[in-house]
Amino acid sequence: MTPEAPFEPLTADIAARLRAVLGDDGLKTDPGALLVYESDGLTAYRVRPRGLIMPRSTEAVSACIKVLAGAHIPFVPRGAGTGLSGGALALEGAVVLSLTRMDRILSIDPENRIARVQPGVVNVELSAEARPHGLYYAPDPSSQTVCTIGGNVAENAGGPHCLKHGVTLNHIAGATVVLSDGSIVRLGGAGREAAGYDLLGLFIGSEGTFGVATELDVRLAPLPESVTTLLALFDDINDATRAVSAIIANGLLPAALEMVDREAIRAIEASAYAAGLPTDVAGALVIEFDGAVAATLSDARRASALCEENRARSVRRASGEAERQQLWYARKKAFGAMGRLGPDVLVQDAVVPRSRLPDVLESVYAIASRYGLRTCNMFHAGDGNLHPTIVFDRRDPEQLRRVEAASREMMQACMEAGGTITGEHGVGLDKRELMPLVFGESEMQVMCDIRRAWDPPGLSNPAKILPVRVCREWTGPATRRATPVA
Amino acid sequence: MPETAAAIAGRIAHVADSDAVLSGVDASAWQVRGRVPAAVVAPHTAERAAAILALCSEQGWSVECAGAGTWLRHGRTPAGVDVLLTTRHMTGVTEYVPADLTVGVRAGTAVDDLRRDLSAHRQIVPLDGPALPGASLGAMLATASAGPLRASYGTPRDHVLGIELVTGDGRLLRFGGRVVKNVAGYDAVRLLVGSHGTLGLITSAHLRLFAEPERDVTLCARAPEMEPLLDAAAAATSFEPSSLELVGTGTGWQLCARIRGNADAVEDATGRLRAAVPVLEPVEGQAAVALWRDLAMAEAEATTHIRLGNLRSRLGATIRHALDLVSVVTPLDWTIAAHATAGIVRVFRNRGTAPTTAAAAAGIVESASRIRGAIAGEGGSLIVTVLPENADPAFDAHAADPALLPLMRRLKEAFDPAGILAPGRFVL
Repeated sequence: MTPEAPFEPLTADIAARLRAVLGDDGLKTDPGALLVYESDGLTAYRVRPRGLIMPRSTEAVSACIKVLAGAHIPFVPRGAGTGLSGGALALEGAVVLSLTRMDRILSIDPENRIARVQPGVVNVELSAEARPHGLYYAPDPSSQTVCTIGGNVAENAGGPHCLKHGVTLNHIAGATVVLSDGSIVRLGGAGREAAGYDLLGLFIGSEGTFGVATELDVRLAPLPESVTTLLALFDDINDATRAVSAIIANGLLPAALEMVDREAIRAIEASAYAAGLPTDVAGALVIEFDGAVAATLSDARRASALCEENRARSVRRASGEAERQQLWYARKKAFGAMGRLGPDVLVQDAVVPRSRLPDVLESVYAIASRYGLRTCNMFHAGDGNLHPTIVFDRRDPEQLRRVEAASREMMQACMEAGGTITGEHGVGLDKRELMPLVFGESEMQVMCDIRRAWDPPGLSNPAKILPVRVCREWTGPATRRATPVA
Repeated sequence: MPETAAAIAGRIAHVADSDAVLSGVDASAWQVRGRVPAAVVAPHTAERAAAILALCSEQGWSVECAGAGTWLRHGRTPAGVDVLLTTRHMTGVTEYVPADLTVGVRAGTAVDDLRRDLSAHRQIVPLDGPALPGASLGAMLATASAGPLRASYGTPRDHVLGIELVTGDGRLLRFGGRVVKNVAGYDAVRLLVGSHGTLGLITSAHLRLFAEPERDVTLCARAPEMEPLLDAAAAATSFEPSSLELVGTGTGWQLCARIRGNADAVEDATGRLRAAVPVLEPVEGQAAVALWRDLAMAEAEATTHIRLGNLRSRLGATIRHALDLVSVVTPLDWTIAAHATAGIVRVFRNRGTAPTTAAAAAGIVESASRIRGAIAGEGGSLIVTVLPENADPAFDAHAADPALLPLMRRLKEAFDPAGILAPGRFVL
């Protein structure tokens, strides 16, 4: 689906001025080169951008944005394009500003456990570079082998190990940001206390709507001395969710506490990512503790006992690093495995209070079955962060309609349980119209004002997060301004 | 101000609860750096606070937000205070689900009372920042007051899941929620925590809780000089202590490490820490409790308070800057306390010391300016959190980045369009 009519190409003058900054290979306008940039990880939405710019430095980003701002052309910062909420779509005639050429790790300071990186650095590559220093970058979204730190910052990305180690926000110490007028500002900074409001904290998770981060000070964590991973199998999915609640309620803080249901296990086992999980169980928990040996062993013993109290069929420790890696590989590639079940996969993202997991999960199954849809669930149970996944075929409009209706009902069920509509994927375009489920009109107006404080003309990733009508007074004019200027 | 104090109090009484307005003699107990508010109002509900703030915005009356009134010395001296709004009648836990490790609390609730409620379920809120007895949760959040436990649990910004506030013009807003992971919309919670009452009155909050640790061990070492303890602190850092404070007073230096967690883990970590840093000796339970409480109290009662920050590898240099700072006055009257794992050093004037003379205040301010320049050149920061009495009120206590001021100003306008909340007191 295409939410809006295509915009005219960039004028020769604008293109020439951008090429003067970027060199000939830094600007692409031919349809073939732009094809990849029509969508992100949420492939249901597609919009052809007006152009693609690929700067190599903060100064080049600033110079390009000045050229674009002068012609009122919006831009969309983009990393690897793995986002799952349509956040990287080029709406309102925007140009895609790709950060993938800014992929250098500028420095690693092992003593202070800080790295300075460009935004295009791939998540897992930072950990690989830090490893010789006994350090790693903790947030580990499932797409970590390709997703970039800049994209992680835009979405405030999570991952299985955020339960103990925190989300992206907790690992960023400072940022250099180019605002929509091309000015360069510095937020936070490793070692210094920024006076005034927590602008860095507000920026992280703003989905590219405040400006472009072009350099990041990232906190690294020491590699844990030991890791203990448990696999608990359950014959009743409710027993598994009750075990999750018990582990949290007893004050254990696993590094990760993940749940995979029967449908998901079957998809994994039928795929190239098979981890030898029995396909007749109702659900499995992967519970991981990290830290000093004494701590992880004692915590694992307790968690194991709590699973048994909640009628686990079996609980066992991963016998070694190879088995542990295989379990995580299966968990993180599970969405890929879903692809076997149907041509399209919708990965939802919602959070509920952890004590409500058993009844919310039951509602999710009931809703899917009422709409005649297949759903499977693998998610960050310890955070209460659900990812109901629906397999479907978008070429069938009737099925697509059912998927959308079921999806919305699932979100509503999560809201009614005291939850929220996204825990780590962001609002982007996909959940923009669900925002009124979470916020009142006054709250959305204030958020619109907050966005305007950062980006008065509304040029940085326009028409995302907030329903267009809320910020009508600027999205309207921006749409008109986005038409070509001679 | 055209209105007299009595007129303002009278108008406020019209929209406030009947027993909510204190004025005249009572108001003097609520002075803000020597400025007595024309009216002190303690609404019982957020809705009533909204009506009062709407009136103040309409009238252009300046408003200071407070809880129990233990932070009124903070920031710069206001030109005047028309209305002081306190949450002290807005107390109590609104929602507590121990199994979720989350709690909803009204802002006027004393942190000590909250702790007591949570301890019945063996849960904690790790807020150990500077606080006087009776200090309210709202004030801890508005000031983002963090203590030694930040080394392991983070700062208040990390513990607030959701917030209810009244904006300067009387809008009642709710941001965030009661789940532990949430990226729906902009993180206004993050903006409000640490905004020092300049964006709105925080009326309640949802917090993330933690299980009470099974064991909680404190180890300390003493020395007449800082250097040997600085080395010990560097060695202790790699053991990931829950807290690590290096404190210097007129009588010498002390390094205190705290290790919390399950029994096996604490025993193991304590053994290894002592093997690596033999000078650290265990402190008995009650004494340890008193030690951490006294540090938080002393810091809260300080009549001047300055924060220096830099990378932790530069901790020694940062402490030397702090020593330099107090060398212009009477060093014996001051305490230097460092969050050793974070590289943050607080310098504060001990309670009970004689009031700062105008000359001494000028000396501290001048010295702070000079050291700010030096530490900024090294990538660090210096913020004056409590200016000495008698100091030049025009002194820029925060020295926020001028490039960011327009953005901060626009953010403030979104919440406080009339600019009535604590004008000039904090950064703007």
